[in-house]
Amino acid sequence: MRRSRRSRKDIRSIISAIPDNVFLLNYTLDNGQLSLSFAQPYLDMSKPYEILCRSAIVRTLCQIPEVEYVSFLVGDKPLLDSNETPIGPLNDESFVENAGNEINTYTMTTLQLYFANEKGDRLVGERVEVRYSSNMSVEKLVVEQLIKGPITKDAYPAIPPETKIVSVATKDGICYVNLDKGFLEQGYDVLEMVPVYSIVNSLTELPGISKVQILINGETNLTYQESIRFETIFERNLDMIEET
Amino acid sequence: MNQSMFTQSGEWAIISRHRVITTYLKSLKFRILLVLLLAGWLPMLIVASGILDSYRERAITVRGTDVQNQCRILSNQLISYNYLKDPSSELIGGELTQLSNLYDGRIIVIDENFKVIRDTYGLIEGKLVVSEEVIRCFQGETINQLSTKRYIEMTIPIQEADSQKILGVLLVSVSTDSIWDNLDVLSGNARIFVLICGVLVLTFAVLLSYFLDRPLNRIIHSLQEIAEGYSTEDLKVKSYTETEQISREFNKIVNQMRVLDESRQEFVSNVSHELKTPLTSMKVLADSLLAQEEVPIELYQEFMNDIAEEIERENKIITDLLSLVKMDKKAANLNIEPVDINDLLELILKRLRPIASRKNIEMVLESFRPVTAEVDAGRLTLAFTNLIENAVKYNKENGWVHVSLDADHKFFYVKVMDSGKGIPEESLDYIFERFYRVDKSHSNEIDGTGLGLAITRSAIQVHKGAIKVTSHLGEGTTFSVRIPLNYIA
Repeated sequence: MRRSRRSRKDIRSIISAIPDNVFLLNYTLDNGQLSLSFAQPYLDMSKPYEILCRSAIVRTLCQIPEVEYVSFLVGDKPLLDSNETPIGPLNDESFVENAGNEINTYTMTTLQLYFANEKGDRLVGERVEVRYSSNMSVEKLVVEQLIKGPITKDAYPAIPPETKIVSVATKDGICYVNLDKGFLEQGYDVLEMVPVYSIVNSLTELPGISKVQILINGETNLTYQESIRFETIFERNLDMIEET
Repeated sequence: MNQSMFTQSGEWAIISRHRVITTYLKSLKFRILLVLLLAGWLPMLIVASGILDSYRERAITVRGTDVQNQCRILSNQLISYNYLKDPSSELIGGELTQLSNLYDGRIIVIDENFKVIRDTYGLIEGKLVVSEEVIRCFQGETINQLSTKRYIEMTIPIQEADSQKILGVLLVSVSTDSIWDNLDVLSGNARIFVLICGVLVLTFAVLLSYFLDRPLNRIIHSLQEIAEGYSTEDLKVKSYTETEQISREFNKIVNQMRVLDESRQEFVSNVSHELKTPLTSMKVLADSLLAQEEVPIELYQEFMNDIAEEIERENKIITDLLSLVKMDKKAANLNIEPVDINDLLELILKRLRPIASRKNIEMVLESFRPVTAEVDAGRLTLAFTNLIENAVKYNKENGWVHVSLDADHKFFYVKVMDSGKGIPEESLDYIFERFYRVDKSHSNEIDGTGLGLAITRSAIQVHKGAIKVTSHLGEGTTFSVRIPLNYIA
């Protein structure tokens, strides 16, 4: 008894996305584009209500294989936004929505990362799919993943695991990676170029980044191990990557 | 696992390790240690975690407030540059990037069509946002500081200062990683600090617990010595008020026992002496009879008489001793009932009249009022008999004995006065002691065992009464007795 009562309550709390006074006049489906024409009362809906309604319609209808895009018309005229610009065809991808309480959600992305090889003198690539909070920038995600270490068997971590990220910021194509002193600690048994270019090559894989500068607690006036100066703005070095 | 230990008397005692541990756990030392540890550690831990918690709260709140401030300024700028309609301004673009870099976060600008005009991560520009928080923000409900583990997220409406209309929404998320890193470092420091202090507190607590416990150990040690008999000194551990009191009370007890022991020894030696005397006389008489050869029958008869008298005497001593010992049993067998004291005294006088008349002593009983009291008749009879008998025995020829009885609402008073030879002043303190006779030679001039007054005093004391004596040598003696009318248990 209780279960059925609850499901009835759930149903009642879900109200129709389309209010009762809104009618569909007609529709046309042409080459994957579905045009929906609504009666005048459509324009009477409040803004938030209207966007939810639109979102519900588009996402439901795009499930039909023949439908790729949905356009909205009121009468003969296309639906306009507040700038008097027509709202173009919409599909699933046009909407961003969250499940749960987070303002920003988790999303998946594929990264090309570079770790140390077995000998410790070259880099090996690793392609990973990572799920991460969309609050985080991809650059920071890359550096985090490099510190965390590789998953594949033949790749070995290059960056000391106690390294902490102070900040990662990109400006004008240069990515500034600010790490703490842990980066200077005795790490893995690798050549000094390897940790540095592990970061540089991985980051330059991202669109919009062509150069990388590494800072230690905001300082560049340091030398890494023997000969690498942090004032250098590093660029991608393909020679470091091991031939496979 | 066993641990062998010597006790004081040198016996091997195998004490199991388990016993040693439980003994320690039950000791005051251990409890003091626990209390000190608790008093030292608990506040430290509470303070440390309290401070760390409040830092975390504060840091997150302050960060959130900062960001909110910046965003309000930003939103005003957006309005004044009309960014929502025309997102090309480089200045605003730069501001947005700078802000998001500064706070290690993400800023999304949404216009009134729910379209994303700018996303500092560049991921969702041009898309329509239909999330609950954004819609609520457009309806006037701002969501502040929704904190997930690593980010603070908030929505800020973009609205003109004096209008209610919300032109857009800023969706901001800000990283709290640096706060957690700080917290880690602080926690690490706190942990080290607490550890060091904890060790110090432990050391201090252990030392203090041993130190505070020492006086008790000294008492135990001294008691052991006294018990074993190594020491006859008093217990003297004056470190604490409590140990001082224990020492004092213990010494009192020991003294009482010593006194008791001494008086017992004295009593035994007195008793054996007293018991021996008649036997010695008997032996002398018997021996002399046996030693002689032709002894006339009259001599035998005379000596037999003497022997019979000695036996009588011995009997009396033993009876008196018995009654004294019975009296000493601390009122266990008192037979309390209402007794007419007048009758009791009259009876005693009647019984003693024959002895009195032998020396022609006048006996008078003066009674001021009728007196009935709750007493043990037997014992009081014994007591008064002794007094009055003494008054007669130690009297001169044609003397007098005067007994008076009076009472008030609480006590009744009996006075026994005589015209006898009196008691010397220096003996007055000792006459109530067992076997004490003023005439120390224990001569048989006046028949007595030396126990009469001891029995009397014992009987009176058992009724919670009092007895006093005054005397003048050559003139006479007065014994004054006071006994409560109602028996006090």
